[in-house]
Amino acid sequence: MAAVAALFATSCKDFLEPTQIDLIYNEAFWETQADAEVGVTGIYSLYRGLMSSGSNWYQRADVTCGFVKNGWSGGSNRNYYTVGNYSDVSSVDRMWGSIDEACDWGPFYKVIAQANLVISKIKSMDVNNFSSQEAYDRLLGEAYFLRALTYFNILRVWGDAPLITDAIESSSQVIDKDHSPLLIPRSTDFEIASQVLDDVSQAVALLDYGKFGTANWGIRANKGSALALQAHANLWVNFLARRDRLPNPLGYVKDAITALEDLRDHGGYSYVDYSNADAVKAMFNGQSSEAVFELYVGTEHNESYRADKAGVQAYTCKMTPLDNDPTHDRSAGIDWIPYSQKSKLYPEYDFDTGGPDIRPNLFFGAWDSTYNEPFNETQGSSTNDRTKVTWLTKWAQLTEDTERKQESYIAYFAECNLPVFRYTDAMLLLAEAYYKNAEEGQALQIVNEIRHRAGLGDYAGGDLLSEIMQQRISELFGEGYLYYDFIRNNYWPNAHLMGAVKYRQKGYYWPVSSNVLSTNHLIDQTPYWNGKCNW
Amino acid sequence: MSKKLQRIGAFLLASILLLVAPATRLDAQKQVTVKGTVIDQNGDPVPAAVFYVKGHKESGGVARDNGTFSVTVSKGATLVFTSLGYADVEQTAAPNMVVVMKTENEMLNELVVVGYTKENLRSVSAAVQRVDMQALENNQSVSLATMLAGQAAGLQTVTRSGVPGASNTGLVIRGNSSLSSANDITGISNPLYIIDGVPMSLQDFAGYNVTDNDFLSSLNPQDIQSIDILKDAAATAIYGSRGANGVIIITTRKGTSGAARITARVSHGFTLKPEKVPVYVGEEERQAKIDLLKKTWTNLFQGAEWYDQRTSGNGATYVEAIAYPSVLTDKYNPYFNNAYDFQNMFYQTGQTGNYDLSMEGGNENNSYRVSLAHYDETGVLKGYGLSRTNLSMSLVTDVNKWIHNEVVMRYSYVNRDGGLGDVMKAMPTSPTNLPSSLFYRTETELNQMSGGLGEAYNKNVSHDLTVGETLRLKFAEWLTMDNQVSMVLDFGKRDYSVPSIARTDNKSIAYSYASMTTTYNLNSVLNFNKSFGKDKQHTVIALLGAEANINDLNTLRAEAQSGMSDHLKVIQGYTKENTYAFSDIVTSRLFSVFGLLSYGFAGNRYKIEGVYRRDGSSRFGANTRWANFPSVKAQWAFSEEPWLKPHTSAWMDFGKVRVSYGTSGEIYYDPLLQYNSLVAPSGFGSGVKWMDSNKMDVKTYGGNLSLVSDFDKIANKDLTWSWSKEVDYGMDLELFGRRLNLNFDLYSRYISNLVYTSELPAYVGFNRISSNLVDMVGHGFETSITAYLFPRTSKVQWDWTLNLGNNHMVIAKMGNGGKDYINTDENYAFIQGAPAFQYYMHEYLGALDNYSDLPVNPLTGEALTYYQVDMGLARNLQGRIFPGCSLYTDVDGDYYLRNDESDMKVLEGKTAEPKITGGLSTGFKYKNFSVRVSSSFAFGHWIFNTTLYEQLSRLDCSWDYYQYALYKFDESKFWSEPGDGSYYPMLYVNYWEGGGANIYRKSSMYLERGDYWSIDNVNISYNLPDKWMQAIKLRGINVYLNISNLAMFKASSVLDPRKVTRTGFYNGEGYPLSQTFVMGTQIQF
Repeated sequence: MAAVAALFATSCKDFLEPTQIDLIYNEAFWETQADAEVGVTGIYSLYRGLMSSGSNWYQRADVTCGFVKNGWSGGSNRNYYTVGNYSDVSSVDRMWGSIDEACDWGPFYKVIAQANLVISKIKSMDVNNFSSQEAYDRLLGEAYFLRALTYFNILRVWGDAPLITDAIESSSQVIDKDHSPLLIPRSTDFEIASQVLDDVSQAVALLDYGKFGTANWGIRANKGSALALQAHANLWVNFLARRDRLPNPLGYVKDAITALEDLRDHGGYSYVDYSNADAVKAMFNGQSSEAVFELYVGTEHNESYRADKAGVQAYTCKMTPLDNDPTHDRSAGIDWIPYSQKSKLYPEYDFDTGGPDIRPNLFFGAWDSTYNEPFNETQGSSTNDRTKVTWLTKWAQLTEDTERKQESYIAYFAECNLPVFRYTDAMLLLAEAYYKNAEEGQALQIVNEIRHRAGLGDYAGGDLLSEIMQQRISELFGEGYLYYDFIRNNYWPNAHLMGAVKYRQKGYYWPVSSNVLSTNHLIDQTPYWNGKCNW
Repeated sequence: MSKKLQRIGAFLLASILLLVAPATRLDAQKQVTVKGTVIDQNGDPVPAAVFYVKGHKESGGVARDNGTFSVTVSKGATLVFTSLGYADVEQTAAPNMVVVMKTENEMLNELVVVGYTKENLRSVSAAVQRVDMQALENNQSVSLATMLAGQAAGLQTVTRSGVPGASNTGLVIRGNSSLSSANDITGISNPLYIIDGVPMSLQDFAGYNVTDNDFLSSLNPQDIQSIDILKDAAATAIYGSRGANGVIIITTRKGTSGAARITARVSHGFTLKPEKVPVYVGEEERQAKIDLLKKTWTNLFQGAEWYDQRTSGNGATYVEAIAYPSVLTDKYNPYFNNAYDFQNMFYQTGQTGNYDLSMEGGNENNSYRVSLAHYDETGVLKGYGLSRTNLSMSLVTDVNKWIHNEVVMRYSYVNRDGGLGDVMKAMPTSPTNLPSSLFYRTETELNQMSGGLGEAYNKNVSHDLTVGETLRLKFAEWLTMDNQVSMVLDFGKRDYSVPSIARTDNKSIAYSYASMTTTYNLNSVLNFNKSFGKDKQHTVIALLGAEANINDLNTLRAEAQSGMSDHLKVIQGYTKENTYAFSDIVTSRLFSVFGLLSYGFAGNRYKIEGVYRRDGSSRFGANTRWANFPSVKAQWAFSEEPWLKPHTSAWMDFGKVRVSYGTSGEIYYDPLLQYNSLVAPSGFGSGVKWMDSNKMDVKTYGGNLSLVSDFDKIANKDLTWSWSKEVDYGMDLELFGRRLNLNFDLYSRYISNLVYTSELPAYVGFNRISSNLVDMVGHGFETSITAYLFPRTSKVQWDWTLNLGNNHMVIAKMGNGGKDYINTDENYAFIQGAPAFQYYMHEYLGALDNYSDLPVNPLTGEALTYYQVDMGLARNLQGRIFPGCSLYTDVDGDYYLRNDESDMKVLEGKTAEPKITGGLSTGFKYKNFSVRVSSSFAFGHWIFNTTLYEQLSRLDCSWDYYQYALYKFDESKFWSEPGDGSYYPMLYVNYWEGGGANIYRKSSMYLERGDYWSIDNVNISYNLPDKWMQAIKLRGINVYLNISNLAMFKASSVLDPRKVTRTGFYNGEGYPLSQTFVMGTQIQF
């Protein structure tokens, strides 16, 4: 009786709201700076998870340019190395994995959801719980930066897409009274772009410049990272504005120039010396003086992945097999550069002299190979000499974990950070912006800086924009930019990838997956792909 | 809170110590002091029996609630005992009297437990049925749920698999409304169990109890006094948010006063080896396989030479050369010429043993009962079995005229061997997965295959302790207050160790799991019961109460792989990275207030009653935390009408109609749906357990910890109870001198707000949300008929009871705009207007007789082609099937039959939920001899014959064909020539280099009617004559023979059609139907 009375005497509200100790829930979180910190690193984690598959940057941006092939002894070349015709995916080899899956923007929106939550929570937190106003601003700025970056990815891949900036905390935000999901249609690419510009200017305002050599240099967003994104976004909006004949497209170019000049003058970045092969290797490893923004990957912090099974390395890297027999390496299954494409990557490289452009041999293995179909037994020009397979070495920094060696497998772990923005990219972008702003002299100066570092002389030709694009290709292949550069400038070294009609009908955007279309009837397929997909 | 709990614990302990202290009183009187107990024929106390000295009604008194009385009378006086509903008894006064009163009618005068009080069954206005405990008396089944099969109308026993004592057996009242496809108890809409007043939700254990032991199997049936089934919402409304699925009230035996009496019971039984699945063994297998291959190629090549298009000039021999593996051709190789009959190895004769000892007695103020029981079962399948030990104690004390106290303590220990299943390599304990008998097996392998677990260790132990304390304060005869404090503690431990030699990857594994669930329940109920007015014709009953329930769920799981030595069975010395641990603690609470008001007029000839309950649960969001559950019911005992009685009394003893309407609720079992949560990230470098995966478990970014949203859930602050609104019309009749009793109920109920998960559009980021998405509507009728063939006073008694329940429940509304929900992985669909779990698969149209029967695309003139049917490689007919192959419906109408959803459809009108369930039982009694037979049945449903599917689909993969056993099919049912009208397609082995026809895919081909009628239990019992007993000074000896699963009549060809998954797939696996014979004796001292 006493116990009954005692229990009844306690307040009912307390009795019915026990503290749950087996989960971290919003109501009991978001109090301290440490809470905000783990939330922000959560966005990085999700974004890195998204990009680590390789397909979301390397395949979308580099493989689609037509410079590589993939095929193996006795088999046929794998298709889908272009953004091509998705109408009959079942009958062709699916090197992309499921095309339908690659068209699903769901994983990008997980990063958006996390960023929305973190932004909303940090904004409602008390600054006094942070060590300083700067710490508060930095965390909020990083969250804005990552949301802008993710939307920028969505923008470039799909164009029109749903726009959501609210933190999802309650069922009432996602289902209506009848429990039907609340649906929203696609916003236009220009609306998405405006959101990116808004977020990125918040980030620019809130973040500080980084300091080369510090632990977070390059792998956490700083003002330089935000400026690079701001410039990329502005040039993309300039393209949209020109396309849609909107007023004052040049204003975006000028904004890009402002951002990039700021980055150049105050960001603390400098070119890595290409005459030093170790420095180049260190650059791709990460956190070099060119690291504007990268995603951390490395065994140092136990944050890596099986490179022989996933990531860009699984697509590009030869790896030493367990028996050390080089003929057993992964040459047969990787993306290789056929001879026919090599002049598109490095037009000034001479196969007889092996120069003067030093970049092919810095960035690729077996560049001197002249085979087009190294594994096609039926063609006379083919070879089974694996040492003659040309491959991208930028990401071939691996740590072998013998502890995890099993049967014929070696566990290779990736060591290179995942690239997002590099100083060379930013400078070539500045050249492009100068050119578009009719400041050709400024543009040429940057182009020549880049050329000199590569062992080339001054640019003497008459098509400066093409030269800027050529330098982007030579410098940045395999780093996740090129397909978007080509769209932005309607510049196609492999012309068959994008006819005039396809370009006019916005066929550069990816289709929307069947999963998205079937769960949301307000979403329409990208018009160009109507009837071209089998879903 | 913990301090509060400590206080409760201390209080309980103190109560027990205080009350267990013996309270004997010796009085010296001039006259004889007579003490005694009034019990009924079941040995239960008859409360408030009035007694007096014959001829002197003013003398005497009233017996206490526990049946005891004490009176001082002159020596040799005759005492008369009377009690409502019982025949009067006259007995000479003696110092220690045991007075046995017989009920006038066994059926309708019984007191049943309904909603915190007891009521006479005649005056209950709701659908309530009491289970006849006699029918269960000698039943040896370990599971209470199995025992109750067919014992009450509208009560259905659900058995998901054959494993004895595992938590995949349950009871369902008025149809299963669970939307979960799980085969454990979460896939059952479990009723609320109230055991000695303590409400328990079996769902609370789900997912937290690590043993998978069936809680209902932990009870000792011998300790159960009565089981009352509350079916309609009017009866269950007083249990509010947990009453929607009906309520099962189990009351355990309490002692009756009198001299100490001891009952001992010993039984032993054996279970016959089950019927084997016909399979080819040894040389017979080799020949049968070769014959079938030849037949296949004859079909494939249409009588032409066995010639493969792709080879140049090799001719027929080519096919044979590449298609006969050496296991079929190399018959003298010792690795290939074996003849293992695996079914002989893993089946054995099962054994059961049951030992019970109980003692009861007491004086006029106290009564006690103590019982100790042990049960042991060895399964018919090696490696399975169960042992259980129960200890139970009760003490009932009348402290004085005003205070009555009851203490109950029950403890049970269950140790179950549940096999090791898929963690061991090649454990073919499913007769559908037998390996080929031909391959050589090592001694160790044979040991494992025969179910001997070798060096493996496997224990599933649960300890359950229940302590209950009830204090009744009697302020007046008409006003009492019951206060109950109780605690149920369930402790589970599962230990698992599989040696490296038993694993395909040669790495030993060890699991060690522990769980502890504690439920505290406190309630206080004020009970008013008074009749007044002229002839006391007005009766008012009022009840007011409050209840609090605290539920704590704890689990701890540790797993490790790759140990140092197979001798070590625990997790010690494993490397850190091969060890995994997880713990969880969840609390949920419920608080309720409730009231009941009932008014009866003219001896309850007319009665109306209203119940109201208000519940608050911590499982729901602040927006919907509280809910109200009202109900109202009325009855009219028309047989008691003065204007009717003269006309009907000759043949009608009692008749009543009743009507009720009420609401009750159900709480979803996951207590954490109202929270958004953050979890450690995964998806980058994760998947540590697989060799091909990243193996680096990354939870940080740049060395800093990170947290991300749990994208599988969004806090649902609006999440609320499921509501069940039910209307019930009932009639109860007693006819022909109470030789025919009829109960009839007609009901309709609407269940709204069932929790289900819907997928969210991708832009949300979150994957899915659980919400109150689905409504169901059900209706049906129940009837229960009992007939006594001889007059109730006759020496020969023969009774028949039929319980019949019909239920039809369909999905009334699907949120999400009524869109069909289709689960392609588990082959089921939810469709508005149809029962839940419609089969979703290919529709089989029969075997193709002629090419010309193939549908032809009118646009192209092309006949239907099949995806992946590549007879083309052999005969250059890509995508074509040939006569004898299965024809399926081309659902999307593209004349191209794929293996995926595009050509699957909902097989409407075929559900695994039976239309009719029930039982028929009969009892015969003559003098000391009695026979009782119980049976149960279900009709009107469909089941998927998984056994046949698994056996046949082996033929669709040529590799499997050589590796696995070949079964003996009834070839007359398989296609052999056009027009033979056979149901199944031809027997055809996939030709490994092309020619695969994929003809045995999951389809309606395997759907069979699930109807069955099972003779569950036969009990033959004999009481040795009384005079012998008097000679040896025993109270009685009973010997009995009990036979379980005597016979099964079934429409399907599966071994035991009762064992079906939630989604309708047969799931008997290696545990088929087998008969158990038990011989036992009960001795009463």
